[in-house]
Amino acid sequence: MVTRVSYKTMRKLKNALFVSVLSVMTSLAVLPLLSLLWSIGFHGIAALISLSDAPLSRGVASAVLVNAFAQSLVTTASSSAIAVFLGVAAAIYSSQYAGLRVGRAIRFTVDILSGVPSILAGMVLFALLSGVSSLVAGVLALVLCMLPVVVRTADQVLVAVPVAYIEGSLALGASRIQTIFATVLPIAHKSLVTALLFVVARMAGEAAPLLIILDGGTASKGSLGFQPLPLRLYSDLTHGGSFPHQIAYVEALILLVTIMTIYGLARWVGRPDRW
Amino acid sequence: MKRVSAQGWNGLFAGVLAVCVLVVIGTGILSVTTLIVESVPSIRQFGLSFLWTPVWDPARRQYGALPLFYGSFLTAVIALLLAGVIGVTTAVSLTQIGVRWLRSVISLLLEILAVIPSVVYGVWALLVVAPLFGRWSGQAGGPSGEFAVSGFGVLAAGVVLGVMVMPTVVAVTREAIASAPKDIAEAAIALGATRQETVALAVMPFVRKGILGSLYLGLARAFGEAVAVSLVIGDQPRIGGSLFARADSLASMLAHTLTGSASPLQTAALYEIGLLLFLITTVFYGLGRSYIVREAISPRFQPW
Repeated sequence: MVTRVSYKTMRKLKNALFVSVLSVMTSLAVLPLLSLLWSIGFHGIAALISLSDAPLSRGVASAVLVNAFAQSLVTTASSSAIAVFLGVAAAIYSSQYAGLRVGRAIRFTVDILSGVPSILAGMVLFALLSGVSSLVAGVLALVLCMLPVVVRTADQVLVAVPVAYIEGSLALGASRIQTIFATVLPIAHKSLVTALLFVVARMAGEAAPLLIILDGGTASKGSLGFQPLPLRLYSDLTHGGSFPHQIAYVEALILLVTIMTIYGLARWVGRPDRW
Repeated sequence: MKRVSAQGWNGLFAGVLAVCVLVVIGTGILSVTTLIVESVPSIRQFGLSFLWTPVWDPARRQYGALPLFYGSFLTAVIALLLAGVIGVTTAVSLTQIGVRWLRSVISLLLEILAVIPSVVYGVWALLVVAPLFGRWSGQAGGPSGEFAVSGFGVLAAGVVLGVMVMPTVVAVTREAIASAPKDIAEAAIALGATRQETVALAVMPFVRKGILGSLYLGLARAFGEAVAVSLVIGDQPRIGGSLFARADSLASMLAHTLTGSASPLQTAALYEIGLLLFLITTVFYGLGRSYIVREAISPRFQPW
């Protein structure tokens, strides 16, 4: 009797220990994010206030920031447009046209390519286009990074469209093109937009492929060369100093808020209602 | 007559789409070819000994990858230890214990952790992580609110990488747990098993492969991360004994030296590093994916 009670207690104790260890570990998992949001939020806002106090630095800082943000917008938008167009087309092929074996081969290749480190895309375009135009090379490097990810996510979304709808459409006499544009894409469009926005959110903050092409070792502190926001931030961090050091906080804050906005937009578009 | 032309259009459309597929696959082939072609001078010069030469010294035109392997492996191992332990336990608690609203808040936070750009992690590393380790290792830290002047090294880089890799581990492990058979866990509970016993005996045996897969994916990510690592690892390609010693990793070396490369030979050596990086990450990524069978397809955010 005594041993049985103690055995039961031991099991309960073990369970209590288990639950408390899990809770501690989970709080440890969340801790870095809170620390990151706090430190960047705090220093970013403090730097924003101190920069806007001094009229001289305010002028320079806002010029730098506006410039970097606008360039980020241009590079992200143009590379996203190219990658989404090409990638979704390829995904339509792999999900609607390709047979089992070809589809599997495409998926495998794309999957492997999507695991390639982004910095290698920068190296490839640095080798191919370094003398031509850094803007074009930078945009293409981002396209190279995005493309496999876009194909993979779009393919997953399109494959999830129930076959019954496609068969129904074809049985009613619609051609394959009509089926794709009138059945498959309308059913999938919400998930597709969500998935693509996630990809864009990730690429908008990508600095690695750009830094090889656009940094060029020539980026000086106050200059308004071609430097999208993530890259501008990276070079402010590496070529230290007192002024860039303050502006780096502001840049980090802006980048963080921008990415979170795109992410929130994606969540909002993909909010569950029906389907 | 009309039908024929419709079929013609269909064929044309399919053809255009197929061309897009070929372009996508072509970019991959082009990338690998470029990396190989660019690294030819270095491969000719150093041969296989490039892999184990323990010196990276541009001044003496000596290039060996060993110090970079050392930095990459050590930081990745630290990252995986951290992300593995914390990530797997977090995934278990997100599926097995806790109230629903808290779970969804935590998984939202972890998803946010996965979208934060690596440069921003770099800022955090310079602001919080490196000063912390600088204080620990007894070096003088910088004034607060400014970037760290000490604390750079393998450990700081490993910890930052661990945080970056963790969302991947959590997401993959969670998916593995979700796809484990529910009836066995329910049977265990019905037999009077505690939570701990249920997880240990009826859930974990089905999740091992998923965990292994998530760790391989994490390894691939840790090896490929350049920006955040290069900011805190210390940028010195040497093999130091201490975890606080400065070092350099494969990807980080590419990030901070390629544009300032002094000679064609150095550039070629760096491209060979890139090629090695490609091979390593591809193997790890492929291994990871081979363990993970993705069945449920949803437009959820996938951080890997």
